[in-house]
Amino acid sequence: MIILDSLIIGGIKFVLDKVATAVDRELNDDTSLREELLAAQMRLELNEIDEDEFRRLESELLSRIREIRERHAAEPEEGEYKITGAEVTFDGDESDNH
Amino acid sequence: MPKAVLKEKKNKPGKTTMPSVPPEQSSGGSGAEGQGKYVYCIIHSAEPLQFGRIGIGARPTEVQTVHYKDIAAVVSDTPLRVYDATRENVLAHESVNEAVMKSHTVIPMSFGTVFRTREDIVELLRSTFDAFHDVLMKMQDKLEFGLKVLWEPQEMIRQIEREEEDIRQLKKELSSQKGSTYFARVQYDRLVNAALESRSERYVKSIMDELSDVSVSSRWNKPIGDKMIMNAAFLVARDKEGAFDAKVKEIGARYNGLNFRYTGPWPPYNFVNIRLKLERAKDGK
Repeated sequence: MIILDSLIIGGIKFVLDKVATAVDRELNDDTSLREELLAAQMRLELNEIDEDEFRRLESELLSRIREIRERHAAEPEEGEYKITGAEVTFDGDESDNH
Repeated sequence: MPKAVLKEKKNKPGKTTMPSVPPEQSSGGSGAEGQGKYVYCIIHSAEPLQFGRIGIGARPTEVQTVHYKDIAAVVSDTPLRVYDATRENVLAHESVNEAVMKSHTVIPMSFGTVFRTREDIVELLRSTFDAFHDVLMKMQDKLEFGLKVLWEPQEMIRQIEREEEDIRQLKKELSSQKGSTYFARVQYDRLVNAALESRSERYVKSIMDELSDVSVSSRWNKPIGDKMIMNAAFLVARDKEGAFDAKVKEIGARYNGLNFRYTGPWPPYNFVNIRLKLERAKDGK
């Protein structure tokens, strides 16, 4: 089994739909839940918990994450968003290496 | 006995190593209906491509490309919804990127990136065309690997008690002393924690130093749980992959008490940043 930390912690950076308008706040809010999810995956990988226990933890954590998301979605900030620009940067220059 | 460090084989979700995928829960309250496009990654290609019916979701859809000139987004149709970061979903996202990586350098998108229309995607490619080109060029022939290092804290404490004189003395006092041992205990905890921390720092620094010779760049991520002392990502040139691999295994064999979890190659999640500037459209469309 593999762990996709970047994917899970990174979460939804942008989605061009109203449900994603709360991205920044959401990341602040549910980071610790996402970390718990990763920790549960690690424990499964180390055989500290079994598949059933993992499923239970996963569904509990995801439902708490969903609650946070829905709370944000309910706030009066809905609407269509459009892209006005984007930045893409390469972050792996040699100079970054220590 | 030294444990061999093996790169973990990735699960292929398509091969039913997973239990049956549960029906997807609606994200509820978000009114997520209609069709959108899930975007996996950006690649360099002027030709339309198809990667098969391996898209994310309970009923996998065709993974194909949306183009602007010679830059393409790899996408599949999806309902407009927020995807939960379940193992199945995350693996579905990753396995598409893996399939694309076999033939292309990719700029991976975050998990859960859904665009409303094809035009939105073309607009992204158009407005960011030069930057995508530039990053794809820099990313060419480079691979990302993950390395996590874990230890057993209890095991390490026993080792510290054996090896460090002052801690051993204190431990002896504690077990022989009658009456209040409160202050000795506090002192013992403090010393043990300091020793753990300094060992962990020493190991990590030495591992990172050794691997810096065979990698282009590295990123440090927060360790997960209480057993992990290192959680790093390395960017490695394709022609150094063998050397990096050999180095990881050599280091792994040298550190008896440490558990190395070595994975990859990944899309360069840790070495590319994409930031979109969004603006609210006026009243609907």
